[in-house]
Amino acid sequence: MPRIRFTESNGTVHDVDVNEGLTVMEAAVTRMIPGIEGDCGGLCACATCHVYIPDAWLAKCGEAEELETSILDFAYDVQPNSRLSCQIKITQELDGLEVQMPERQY
Amino acid sequence: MAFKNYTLENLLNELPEALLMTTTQGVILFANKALSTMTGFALDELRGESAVKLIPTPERRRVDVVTWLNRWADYPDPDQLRYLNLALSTKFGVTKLVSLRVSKHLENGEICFLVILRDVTSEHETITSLRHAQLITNRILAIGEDAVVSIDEQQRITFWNARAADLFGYSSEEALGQPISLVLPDSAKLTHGAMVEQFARQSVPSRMMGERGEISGKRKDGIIVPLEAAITKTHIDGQAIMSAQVRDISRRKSAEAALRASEARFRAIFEHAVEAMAVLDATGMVQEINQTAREMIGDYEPGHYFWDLNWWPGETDSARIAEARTVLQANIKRVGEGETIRARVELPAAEGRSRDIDFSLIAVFDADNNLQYIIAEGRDVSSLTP
Repeated sequence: MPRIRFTESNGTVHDVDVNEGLTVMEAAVTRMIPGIEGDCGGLCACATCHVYIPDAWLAKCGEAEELETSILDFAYDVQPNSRLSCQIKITQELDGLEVQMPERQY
Repeated sequence: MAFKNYTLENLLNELPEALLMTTTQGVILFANKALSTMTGFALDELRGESAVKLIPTPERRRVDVVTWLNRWADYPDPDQLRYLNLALSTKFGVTKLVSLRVSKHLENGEICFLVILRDVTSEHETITSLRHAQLITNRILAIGEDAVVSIDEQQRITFWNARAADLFGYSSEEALGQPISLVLPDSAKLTHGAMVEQFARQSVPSRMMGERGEISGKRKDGIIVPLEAAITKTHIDGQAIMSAQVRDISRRKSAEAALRASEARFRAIFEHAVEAMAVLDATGMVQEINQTAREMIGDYEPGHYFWDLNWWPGETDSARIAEARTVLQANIKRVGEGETIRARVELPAAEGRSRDIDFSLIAVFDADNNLQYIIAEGRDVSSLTP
C-alpha cells in the first residue's frame, strides 16, 4: 500500500497509507486531512484540491492536461509545481509521495 | 449600445438577474438595473469599460475574466460554471463572489456575450462554514477511542472512521459501500439485519446494542472480538442512517476474567481457613465473614456491626454480654485509629464449656491513609492450652 505524506501550509504532517487506484484528492478527503477540499468531487472543475508536488516527484505524477492547467487559473498562489490532486492517481510508484498544501483553496 | 427595440431594454432592466453584455474582447455594451444594484455602478459608468473593471484578476491568482468568458461561450461546461466562481469588485470596494452563465449572441451583426451573474457570496460562506464544522467533527471522530460506523437502510457501510479500520482490519476503501455483514460473525448474520430494521422503526433515538446479550464482531483476519456498541439513528430525506460507536472489549473481558479468578482464589482461602475471619468496613459493619466464624455465632444475617453478632452463645448473663460488646466496640474504634490489637479472650461456649481464642484486630489503610477495612481474626486455641 503506497504511503503518502501530506504537509499542511502550517507544517502539520499527515502520513497515510492509501490503496492504489484512488486519487491524491480522494486519499486526503476520505482521511479528513485539512487543506484539500475537492468540491467538485474529482471532475477537474473547481480548483479546490490544489497542491504543490516537490520537483523530485513531479515527473512520476504524470503530465498535467490542458484542462487541469487552465482550471489552475482559479487557484491561489499557483507555482510551476502546482497540480490538482484529483488528477493524480496513486500507484505503487508513488509510494513515499510528498504533497504540500497551499495556504488556501478558496 | 442602444437596442433597436426599446421594449427589450425595458424587459432586461426588469429582470431580477444581473445581466451584462460584452464584446468578445470583454468591452461592456450593456448592463441591466439588477447589475447596477449588485455592483453600485450605473450603466453609463460601465459602458465601454472592460469587464476586468468589474471582475479584476485577484491578487496571487491568474484568472482573466475575458479569457473565461470566451471559453465558456464556446464550451459552457456545467460543472465548471457550477464550481468556479469569480470575484466581483463593487464600486464601493466590496468583493462579491459570483457565478456566471455565458451565451453568444449576434447583435447588430457583431458576436457578443450575454452574461448572467449570480451573487453566491452568502451561499459560499454557508457551505464553507458547514464544511469546516464537518471537518472538525470528522477529525474528532477520527482520533476518538471508539470505532464509528454508519450504515444506510440497505445496511451498506456509509461511514467508517480510522478506529473502525484499526478494529476490524478493513481500510475505509475496503469497507465503504460493503454490507455490514462484512464484520459480523456467522452467528449474528441471520439476526442482525432484522434487529437493525426493528431499531429503525422503534421510537427510541439511540440505545446500547446487545441489550439482550453480548455482541461480537469479525475482523478481517477472521478473529472474533467481543464488542460493546451504542447505536443511534438519523433520518435524512426519509432514509434512516444508523450509526454505531463500537468498542473492542477484549481487554476488559480478560481483565474481568482475571478478577473473577483472583476473587475465586481469595474465596477459597477465606472460606476454608481454620481461623474465624471477618472483614469490617470503617464503621465496624461486617462486609465478609467466613465459614469458621459463622459456625461460632450460629445464624448469620448480613447488615450487622461486628460487636452485635452473637459471639457469646454460652453466656446467659445479659449484663455481661452488654459489657463485652461495649469493650469490643471500643477496641474496634482504637484499631480504626491505627492501633493493632491482639489478645487472648475466653468465650463462654454452650454446655458450660468455654473457648480460648487468640483474637486480633488489624486495620487496613489505603494510599491516602484512609481507613479501608478492619480485619478481625480469631483462632480457637483451647486444644493447645495446657
